[in-house]
Amino acid sequence: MANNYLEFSEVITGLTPEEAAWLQRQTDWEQLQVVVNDLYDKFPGGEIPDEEMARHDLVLLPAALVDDASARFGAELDEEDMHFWIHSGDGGDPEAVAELIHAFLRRFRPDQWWALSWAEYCDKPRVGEFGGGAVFITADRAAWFNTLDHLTAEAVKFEKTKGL
Amino acid sequence: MSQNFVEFSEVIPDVTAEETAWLLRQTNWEDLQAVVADLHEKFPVGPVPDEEVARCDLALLPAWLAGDMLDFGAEPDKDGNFWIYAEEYGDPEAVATVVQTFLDRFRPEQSWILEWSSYCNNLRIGGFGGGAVLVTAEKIEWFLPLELAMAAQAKFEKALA
Repeated sequence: MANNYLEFSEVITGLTPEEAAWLQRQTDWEQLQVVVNDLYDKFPGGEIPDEEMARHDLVLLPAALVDDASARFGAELDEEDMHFWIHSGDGGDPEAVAELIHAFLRRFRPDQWWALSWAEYCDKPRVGEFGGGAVFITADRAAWFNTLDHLTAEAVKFEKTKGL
Repeated sequence: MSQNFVEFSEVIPDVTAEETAWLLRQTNWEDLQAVVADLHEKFPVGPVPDEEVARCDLALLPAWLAGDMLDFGAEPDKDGNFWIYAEEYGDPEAVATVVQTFLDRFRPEQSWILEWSSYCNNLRIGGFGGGAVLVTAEKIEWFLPLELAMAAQAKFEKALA
C-alpha cells in the first residue's frame, strides 16, 4: 500500500514571551480537544453560539469542531532561541498553519509577513502524486501558490489558444 | 545526516511505437554517456561543433557535454503510456528538455505538465517544497511556489516602505 505525505518545517523567530505563550496556548492540541469535548457536552445539538466560540480565543477551534483530525501540526517552542518551530513529518495541514499565523500577525506583528512551503509526495512513484506549494501570509491576507492549480489553469489557457 | 529528495511520477499518454522508440533512445543514459565520451575523444580541445551535436539528435546532449549529467527514470508502461519518474533524485529540467523536443517533433499542438516534490528525510527548516513545469513545443514555463511567495514578500515590503 502506498502512503501519501504532506511535510513542512519552518520557524517563527524572535518571539517575545507574550507571543510565545499565545502560540503555545493555540497549539496545545490536548487542551483544544478538551475544549471541543466540553462544547459538544454543553451544546449537544451542535449549534455553538458565536460568543461562546469567541470566549475561548482559540484560532483553530472552529476547524477542530468540524473535524477534530484537522487543525493539527507539530508546534514547539525553542525557549533558548525564542523560536517557534512549526512542522509536519507526515500529513500536516497548511491551511491550519496559515490560519494560526494570520491571527498571530494580526495580533502581534501587523507589519510583518511569514511564508510556509510544503512538499506532497508518495512513498511509491505513483503517477500524479508529487507536488508542493507555498503560502505567503500577512495580517491582511494569505496568498496561496499551489503547483497543480496554477499549471492546470495554464494548460487550459494553452488548449484554448490552440482551439482544442 | 539529512538527505534531500526530488521526486516525480507522470506519464506521456498513448505513445505510438515510433514515439516510444524515440523516447527510449533519448533516455538511454548509458548510450548518452558513450556519445559524450566519443565526442570528448574526437574533440579533445574546445567545444564540440554545433553540427556534430545536432547530428546526434539527443535532446540532453548539450547539457551532458557541459557536465550537467541530468537524468530520470523513463520506461514504457503496460497501458501504452511512457512513464517518467524519479524515486529519489530526478531532474525536472532534463525532463522538460526531453519532453519539449518530443512535443516539437511529434505533438506540436499538445502540452504536458510535470509536478515534483522536494523534501528532506528529517525536518530541516525550509527543506520542503515542490514545483511544476508546463511544457509545450514552444516554451517551458516554470512554476515555483516558493519563488512566487518571495515575490509577494518583495511587493509587501515595498508597500510598507
